Amino acid sequence: MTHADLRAVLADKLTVAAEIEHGVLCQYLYAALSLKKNPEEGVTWVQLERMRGWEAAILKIARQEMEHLGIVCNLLSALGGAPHFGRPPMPLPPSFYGVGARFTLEPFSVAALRRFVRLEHPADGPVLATLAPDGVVLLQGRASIAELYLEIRKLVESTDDAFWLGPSSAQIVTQMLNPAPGQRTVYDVSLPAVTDQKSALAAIDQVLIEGEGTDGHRQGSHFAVFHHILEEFAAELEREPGFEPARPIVANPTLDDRGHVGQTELTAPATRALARVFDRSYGVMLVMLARYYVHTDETPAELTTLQTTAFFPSMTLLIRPIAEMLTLLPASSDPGAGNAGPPFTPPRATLFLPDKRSAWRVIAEQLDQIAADCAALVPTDYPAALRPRVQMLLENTARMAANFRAAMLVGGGA
Amino acid sequence: MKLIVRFSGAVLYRLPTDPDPMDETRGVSGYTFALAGEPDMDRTIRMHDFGGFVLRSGSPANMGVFVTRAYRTDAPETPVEALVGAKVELLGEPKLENRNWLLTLPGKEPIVPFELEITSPSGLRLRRDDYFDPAQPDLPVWKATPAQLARRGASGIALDPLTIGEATGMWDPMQAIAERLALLVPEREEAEKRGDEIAVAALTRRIAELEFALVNPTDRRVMARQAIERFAFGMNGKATIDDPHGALGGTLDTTQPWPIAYWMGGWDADTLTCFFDGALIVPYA
Repeated sequence: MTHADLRAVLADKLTVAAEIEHGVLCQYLYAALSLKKNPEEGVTWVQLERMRGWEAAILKIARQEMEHLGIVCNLLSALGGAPHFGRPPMPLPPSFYGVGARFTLEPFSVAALRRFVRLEHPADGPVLATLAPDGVVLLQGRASIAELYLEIRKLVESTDDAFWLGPSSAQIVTQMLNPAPGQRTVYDVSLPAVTDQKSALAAIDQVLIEGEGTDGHRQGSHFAVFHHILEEFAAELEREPGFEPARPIVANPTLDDRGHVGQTELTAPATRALARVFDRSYGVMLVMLARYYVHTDETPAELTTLQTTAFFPSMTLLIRPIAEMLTLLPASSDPGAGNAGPPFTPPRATLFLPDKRSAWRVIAEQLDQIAADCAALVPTDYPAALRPRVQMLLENTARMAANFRAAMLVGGGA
Repeated sequence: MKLIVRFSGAVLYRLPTDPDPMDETRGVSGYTFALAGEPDMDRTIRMHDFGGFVLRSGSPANMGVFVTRAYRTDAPETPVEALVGAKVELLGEPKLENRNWLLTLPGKEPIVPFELEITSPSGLRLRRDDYFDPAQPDLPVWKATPAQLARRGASGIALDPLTIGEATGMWDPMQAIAERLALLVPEREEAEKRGDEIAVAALTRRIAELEFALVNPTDRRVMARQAIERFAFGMNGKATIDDPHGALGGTLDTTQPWPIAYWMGGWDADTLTCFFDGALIVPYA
């Protein structure tokens, strides 16, 4: 294959891989954050302790999927392509990516765990017997995500060092994510630089090892962790058949009233208001991540501002708290319809904003709007348990917007 | 002439840890947790009132911050015995505020609010607040400027085994972890024998965290035991002094800032306690 062909094929496959990692991590977050937190929700203290372990494990995997998305973006940059943070809305049929399972935002359940096991399944291993009864699992296309990475790996093996074009300065690495020098991982995330064939292969192997493990050494891999959770959940169900660890949240929530198949429109006004803040936060976070990974003429200070806005605190003070709050709010006025969840609506617009000065203004404007929306939430009649968090949202979003404007020298604002 | 008040003691501090959100109440992704049967974490530095929380086994024997020494800087120094043993308290549910690095980097955060009160059984009382901006005493932390936060904030996280060792007697964190495990394992066996499933679940989590720390000596769970954060600033807010028996030997100046210097550290993530040690310097009028 010529360099031209190889570059085109690899860029295509890596772009698909980016969408898959992005879609998978949203699914994992959705399931993890659906888990109950208090005995008042109908679970025992002992069960809660076990559920905390499940949630922590799935959130760790989700962080590593963010890392995988970052690695894929580094690979794309290194081959002269563009990092990719877009993805289609869910649900998606198994045939869409051909990695063995539907992409769908659903609460923690046996079916969800089976899908996750399937997605992380080793490329060369037998599909677990426990997965067979699940109607959502179809043997179509690739058996799992690992197969896609093995295809990518094979293509990378056929490159030479002259193939790799991207400058090392375009790479996003662990050291940039944490001010503590010399740390190899930050909260279980380790982002390596890709500059040549050797580092590209090592990066792909990292994704494969974390996802499926290696032959005979599956322990700690995403595949093994999900399988273990599935076994623990099954055992708990055997002890207590009525055990329900997840809040009754709907599948694939949306603010869109056009009613896509498999989506659930959120209609309760207070819920919609919060879900809108979530989607706007998610959207502007993706814009910041796109600019961060595609950085061109940013100063080091500007890059730091993007990083210190898009990771902590966007993920910790916006995405996760709002997602958790939504799982406690009704999806609609029908009490039997269940609770809401975070829509994770992917923006349609291209996420990379090419002109730097305009990008800062657009991001600042969005952050201001989020702060204004949060301020408008305060008088809303949310349950008492949520009100302190609504107040925190108001304070923290106002500060985020002000910090960003000050650091990027963007005038105006509230 | 100045009044020097030295104080120290162990405090309860139940906070979630990164990468959990700053207001996570149970603890999931960090290394601190509200365990089975325990109330939610509240992020509040508690010097005496533990908010109904039952201290975990292995907590320091003498919890609470008290005045250890007080004297006037006459020549020679004059002890102010009435203050020794007085209760030192931070009022208003004080919290270390960096909000997942939004306000400050870790190790640079201020305690908010900062309302210091020292009360002795004899009725002697010193109280002083600190404001981010004396012209706006109610300025909330999320509106404070970086300079205002830095003035009250810590100067960074430092590994300081000497300070911790001398203050607490804990010189070897790995030994401390091993000793804690030796305490908790039989405690869990006892809980199993009496069929206390909630206690077993809580102790199992504590033991798992300690076992992790034991084989990961550079982990936060270990390093935090020998780390401190230092603070030093002049308290600039409203001052109140009640000295019914004239024990202070003069009138304190309530118009000038009162310098305070203290450190927090020796963080034990298992018992959610740490050490608090410092000095207040009050000028006489």
